[in-house]
Amino acid sequence: MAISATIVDIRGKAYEPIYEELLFENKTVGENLVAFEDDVKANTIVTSASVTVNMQAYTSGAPTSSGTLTTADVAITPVKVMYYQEFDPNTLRASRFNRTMKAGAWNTASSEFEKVVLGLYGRKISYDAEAKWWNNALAATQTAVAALTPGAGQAAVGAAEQTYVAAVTAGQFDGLVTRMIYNNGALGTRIKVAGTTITASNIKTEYDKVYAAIPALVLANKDEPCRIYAPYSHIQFINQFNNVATNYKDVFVVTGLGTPNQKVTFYGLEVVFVPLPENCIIAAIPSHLLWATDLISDINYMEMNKIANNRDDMFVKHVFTIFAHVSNQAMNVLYLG
Amino acid sequence: MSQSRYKFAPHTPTHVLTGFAENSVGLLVNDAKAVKGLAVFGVQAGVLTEDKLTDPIAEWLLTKDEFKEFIIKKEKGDK
Repeated sequence: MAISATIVDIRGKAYEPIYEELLFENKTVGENLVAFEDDVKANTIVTSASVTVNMQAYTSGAPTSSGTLTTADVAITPVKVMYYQEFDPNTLRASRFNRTMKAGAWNTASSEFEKVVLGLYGRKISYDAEAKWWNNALAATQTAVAALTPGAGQAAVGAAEQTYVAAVTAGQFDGLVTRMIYNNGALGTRIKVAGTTITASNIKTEYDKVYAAIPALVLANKDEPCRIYAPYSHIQFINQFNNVATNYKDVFVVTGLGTPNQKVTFYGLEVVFVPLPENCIIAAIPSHLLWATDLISDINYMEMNKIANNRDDMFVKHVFTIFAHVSNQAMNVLYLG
Repeated sequence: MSQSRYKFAPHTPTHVLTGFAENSVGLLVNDAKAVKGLAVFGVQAGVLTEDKLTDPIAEWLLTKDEFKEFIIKKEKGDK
C-alpha cells in the first residue's frame, strides 16, 4: 500500500503550482441541468399521470363512462455507492510536500498534498458520478437489452441503442441513457431517432431530426422549456458550422462564447453540454430527467482519517446514493447513431 | 465468447481504461487495463468488446464507415 508517486527529493525550490489533471466540472449538479430529488432514502414513489377525455353526445338518461385516468407509480431506491482508497503519507516525507508537514517525526500530513491532490481526487469523484449518471448500465440490463431483437420502429430497440448498452462499462446502476432505452423490465417508450456519426458538416441536419421529433406539446410548454442535451464535442462542431460563410447563423445561436456565461440555442431551445456519449442527443423537459439521491452535497463530502489508531497510514472515503429516473418517457427524444 | 458470426479484425484498437477496480490497494491511482475493442460512442461511454458482439450489432457497425474495417466474418474453427 503506497502512494504512487514519482518523487524528487526536495533540495532547493519547488515550482509552486502543481499541474492538476484537467477535469470537466460537474455541470449537471452545479448548474441544475436536470431535476434533483433529494431526501430519497429508499422506496420513494415517483408517479407519472396521464388522462384521456372523450366528448360525447349529451343524454338525459344514464351516461356512459368514457376516457381514462392513468397513473404509473415507480418505486425508486437510489443505489448506495462508495469510493475508498488507502494511502501512506510517509511516502511523501522526502518530497516537495514535506514543506507543509509540521516539525516532528510523528507529523507526515501535508496540507499542500491534502489541498491539491486530495482536492483533485474529490472533484474527480464528483465528475465520475456525473459521467456515470448519464452513461452507465447494470450487467443485468446489458444482458436484457442484448436479448432484444433490434428493429427500426418505435416498439423495437435500435441497433445503435443495443450497441450503446453493450459498450457501456458495467456499473452499479443504470445511467440515464440506458434508462431511456430500457427500464422496469421493458423497452423504454422514448421517442427513438436513428442517428449517424455527427460532424461539423451534418450537425444542423441531425439536430433538425431531433427537433422534428419533439412533440409539439413539449415545445409549446412555456412553464418549463424543453432543453437539448448534447455531448461536449458538439460545441466544437457548432462553432465550426457557424464559421462556414454559407451557413445560416441564426440556427445555432452562440452567445458569450468561451466565457462562463456561454449559451447555445438551437431554434430557440437551450443546448447544454454534458457527458453524453458521442452521436447522442436528448431533448426533454428537464424535470423529466431525475437525479435521485439522499443528499446532493454527499457527492462533495470526503472523509479522511487514520485507518486505525495504532497505524499511521490513512484512508479517504466517499459515500453517496445515486439513481437516474426518466418520467413521462413518451415525451422525451433520444437520438443515437 | 459471443455467439456472433463476426469477430474483430486483428488491427482493432486497444484502449486503456482506468477505473476503480475491485481489490485495489493503490493510493490515488486508478487501476488501468488495456481493452481491445471499439469506442463506438466515445471512450466516455465505454468500449465494445468482442464478447458483446452480436450479429445485429456487427451488422450495424458494418454500416458505419469508421468501424466497418474492424468487423470481419468468423472463419471455420473460430470460437
